Amino acid sequence: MKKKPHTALFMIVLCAFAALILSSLTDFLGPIQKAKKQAFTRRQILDSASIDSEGTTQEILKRFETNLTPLLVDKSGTIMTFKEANINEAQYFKRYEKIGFYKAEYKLFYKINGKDNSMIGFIIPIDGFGLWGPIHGYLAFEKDAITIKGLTFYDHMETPGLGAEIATKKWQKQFVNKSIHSSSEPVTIDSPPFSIWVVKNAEKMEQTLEQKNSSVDAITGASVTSIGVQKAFEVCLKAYRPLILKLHEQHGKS
Amino acid sequence: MAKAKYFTTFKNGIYKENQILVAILGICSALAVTIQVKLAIIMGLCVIFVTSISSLLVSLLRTLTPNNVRMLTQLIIISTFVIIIDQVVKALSYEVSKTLSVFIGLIITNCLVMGRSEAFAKYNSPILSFFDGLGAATGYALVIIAISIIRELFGFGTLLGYQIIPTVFYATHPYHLSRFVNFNIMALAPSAFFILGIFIAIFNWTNREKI
Repeated sequence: MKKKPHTALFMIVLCAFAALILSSLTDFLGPIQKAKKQAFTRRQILDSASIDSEGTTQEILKRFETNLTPLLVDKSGTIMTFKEANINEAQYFKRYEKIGFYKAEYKLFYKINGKDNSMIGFIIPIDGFGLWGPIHGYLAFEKDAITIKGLTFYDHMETPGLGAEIATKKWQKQFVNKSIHSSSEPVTIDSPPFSIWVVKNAEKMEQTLEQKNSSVDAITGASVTSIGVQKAFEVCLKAYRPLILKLHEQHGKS
Repeated sequence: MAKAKYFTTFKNGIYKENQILVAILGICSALAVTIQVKLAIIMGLCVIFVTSISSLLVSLLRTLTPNNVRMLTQLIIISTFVIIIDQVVKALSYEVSKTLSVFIGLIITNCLVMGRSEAFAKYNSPILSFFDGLGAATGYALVIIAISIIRELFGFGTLLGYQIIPTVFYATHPYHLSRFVNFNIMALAPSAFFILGIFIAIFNWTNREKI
């Protein structure tokens, strides 16, 4: 019988070999993975603003840069760029990506650029909690700041077939052209909190036209997820209220 | 002669010694990834890759491996390949990796892979072990794909994302409530248990004389 190598020696060689293969592979694939992940998030943001999100990774990154500008807003509604606020963009994203941008002192939003760099709408991140874990998405507004242009949820852990319906286009379509201001009164600083009502049978409910225009159908069998989405709307729209009021005042009347 | 042996080993792995239906191995992942056909196919391919290659390597190293660390050696080999495939999937499609990442990581603990290494590759020649791993994993893949077809069809009315059950069959209107409604249980993990149980019963019934 052949003599077997020493146990410790065998393990050390084997582990070193495996580690070498894996580390060189991660080194090689790392940049590709990062680009794919970034393209995925950007595609979601473009989707929420109903801008064409098809194409290769490079095309998406380019389209993102021409159509959208990341900006920050503080508590009083003052808008500034990352440079003006003296904040490192990469660090900022890393810090607030998981916990929610609405918690930051300077809150992130994206300006949708029209012709001549004018503003035709804006996008805010929307973060909340579903049944099994956090939900992350983007909410796009029209120029008047109270009409919804589109919505995407890109990260969630909800039950497939039930709560996970929030990630489908079919469900998200309901939000288009809804208003976050559920009253016929003009929007002022004293307006009731902005929100969207996620309710059962939104079409048939006995309610005023304005309320109907702020309600969407909940998902059958996923009450906790539906409530979570509504909570996310309430919390995020409260945090972004100064921005919404300001932009509505600037552009809403036209 | 040798070729026939390889083929028999491969064929046995698929049907006669099917790892899920006969050995009841690898059930945990059979529950988790069978919700959509697409996920089951990707998972099946990953397991085929990991099982066949790691069986080959375990068999190549079998004369060198000290007996007291043979399990550790197998684990190192298996996990190396699992991490490789996880990284590759991540680089290919971020969306797929987001749903599958946890399950791909769990291939390491899939009893099937280690079972083949421990029960077969340890005693047999590399190429024969490779075919054994290939057959066992293909058998596994076929079973989970079959389960996922049933679950996706009745749970969502779709296959690979395409609508199969026509939308007019659905009870979408109060006038015809007696029409088809998706089975919510199919979307949940217990349904895989039931379907798997039925599969095993059918398998045992058809093979009752041989056993």
